[in-house]
Parts: sequence; structure tokens; C-alpha cells
Amino acid sequence: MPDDQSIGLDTDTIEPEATLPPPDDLFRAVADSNRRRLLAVLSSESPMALDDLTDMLVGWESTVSGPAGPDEWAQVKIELVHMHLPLLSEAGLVTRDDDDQVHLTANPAPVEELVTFATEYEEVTV
Amino acid sequence: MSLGSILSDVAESEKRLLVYAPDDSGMDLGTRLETRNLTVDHRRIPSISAKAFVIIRSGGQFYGAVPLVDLLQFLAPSASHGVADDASDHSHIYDLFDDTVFVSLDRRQLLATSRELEDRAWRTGHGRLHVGFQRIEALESQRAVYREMGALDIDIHLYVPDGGTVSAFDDTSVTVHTEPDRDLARYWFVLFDDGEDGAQNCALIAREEDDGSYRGVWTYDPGLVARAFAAVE
Repeated sequence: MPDDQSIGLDTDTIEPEATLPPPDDLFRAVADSNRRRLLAVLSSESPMALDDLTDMLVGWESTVSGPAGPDEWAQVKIELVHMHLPLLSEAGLVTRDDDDQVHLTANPAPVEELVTFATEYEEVTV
Repeated sequence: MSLGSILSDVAESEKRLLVYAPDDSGMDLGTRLETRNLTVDHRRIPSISAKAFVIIRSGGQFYGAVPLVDLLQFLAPSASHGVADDASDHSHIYDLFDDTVFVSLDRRQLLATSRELEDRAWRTGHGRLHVGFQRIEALESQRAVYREMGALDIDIHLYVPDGGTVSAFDDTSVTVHTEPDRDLARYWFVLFDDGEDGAQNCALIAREEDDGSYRGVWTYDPGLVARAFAAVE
């Protein structure tokens, strides 16, 4: 590890009252690029409508894999509802209300840093 | 079937573009697409995602997603439209940027478009050409053109407002219609059918609004052109 230690938990930035997800829940939550994208999107705008979040995921993926149509959109929405949001919810990071609005409930500094790191890591490895 | 129903159908099929970008890229898209039948909105995405994309919605439903760079490349004046060819399953997404135009037009633009469609008929040299005038003077200013075109193998029909007196086009295939029972007086139209595979078909249909401006459609879509002929004939 270099001296400037670019990866590391800066315990000073953790707010005392912050609720931190248990490690296994957290790493499960960020183990998929779609969920990391969701956290990145929601950290800049929350709440967001479920359909808008689906648009974001499909659009973001199109910059990697090319254009997408309604079939891909429907598939992504199913995965969002049945897989990604439940896992993020288990980690205590998001909630979905009755109006299909998705809220970021917590964004503790270590989680935000982890998402940023993972996204940058993704860019240098693909 | 009427010219009005064609205009309202085209208006209802309006698409909405949402440009998601981490910066100002794509901000000029609205200007570049202003003659198309769509609206453009912009939204910010976190800079972490870095690459801009465009979401297309039609009637509230998701229609497609494309990277902004691909769309800009497609719209570039020099583009060979290779993007659409490469995009295999999703080439239809680009179709909506290609054909039907729905616009506000002033008289000068309508004249220029009319001349372009007439010129296309002239170069083709055969087929059917139907032209609707709101004023007899407009027809008279084009009389020489239609007389010459009428000598080609083009079946020409000219529609003028009720009550007008137009001297006949002798020895040509030009027919002038002055029927009073037609609700065509509000429309400025030029319809051309090449009589063959439809590759040269085109139509301009514009309606004068109360404020004197025009709203209309200008299309090379063979289906719309056929509907327009059915509405007029």
C-alpha cells in the first residue's frame, strides 16, 4: 500500500449517529454494477420514481452495451423490483414507498466512498 | 379520413426525448431537432457515470435508449447512417429521427418546401401530383410550371377555393378543381405519388391557424402520403 493510502476507511468522516449496514449486507448490496449505479443516482437525487430509475439503468447500460428497446426495459424493471431494491433495502440503504418512489434512506460516508471506488474501478477494468 | 385527421394523428405520435448528461453535452439537441415531431428535455446525472445517454418515450411508454454520442453521430450532416445499420435489433429507434417532420411554418418556408416537392415530381417525370391552393394568385404564379409538368407523364390536379375562376390548362393533363363542397380551403398541400415503388413519394400538408401561422406535416412516409391522397381524391 502506498503512503497516501487511496483505499482506506477514514473513521473521522463517519458521523457518530450514522447507522452502518452489517458488512455482509453492504457488500452484497454493492456486488452488482446496477445496484452501485442506483446508489450513485439516488445520492444525487432522491426520491426518484421507479420508472425513472429504470430509465437510468437502461440508459446507463446503453452507453456500455449499445441501444436498448422496450424488452430490455421491462427486464430491467423486473430485476429492479425483485432483486436490486430488496437487497439495497435489506442493507438499510433505500426504501420504496406506496407511490413507487424510491428513497435513499442512508448514505453513510463509507458506503458513498465504496460506491465511488467501485465505479472508478469498473472504469479502469473494462 | 381527412387531412385534419392526418395532422392530429401525427401530433399524437409525438415523442419525448430525455437527455441525461453529467455536463452540458447534448444541450443543443432541441435546436437540432426542432423540425422533428418531438420534445427534448434535459436531466443531470451524477458525474460518476460520465457518459450521457438519451431516453425516448412515446405516449408515456418507454421507446428506446441510446448513447448520446451515437445519436449525435447519426444526426451529423455527413453521417452515412452507419449507426442504424450496426445497431441491428434497435435500428428502428433511429427511424423516428428520419422521416416525418411536424412543424410550425411560415409562408416562405411553405413555399420553399412546396417548390422542393414539385421539383421532385418534375425530376421523376411520371406519377400523380395534387396541389391545394388557398388563393388563386398562388396558382397563377405557378401556372407556367404546371403547364410544362402537365406535358410530362404526370397526372396533375389543382384545387382552388370555391368561387374562383381559373382559365383552363389546354392540351395538358392538368385538371383544376373548384368544387365548393370540399373542406380543403384551410389547407395548403402538395402530394406526390411516383406511380411506381413509392421511393419518390412525398407530401406537405399544412393548415392555417387563426393567427395566420401554419402547422403541418412534411413527410416521405409512403403510408401517410397514401392517406393524404385518399383524403383529397
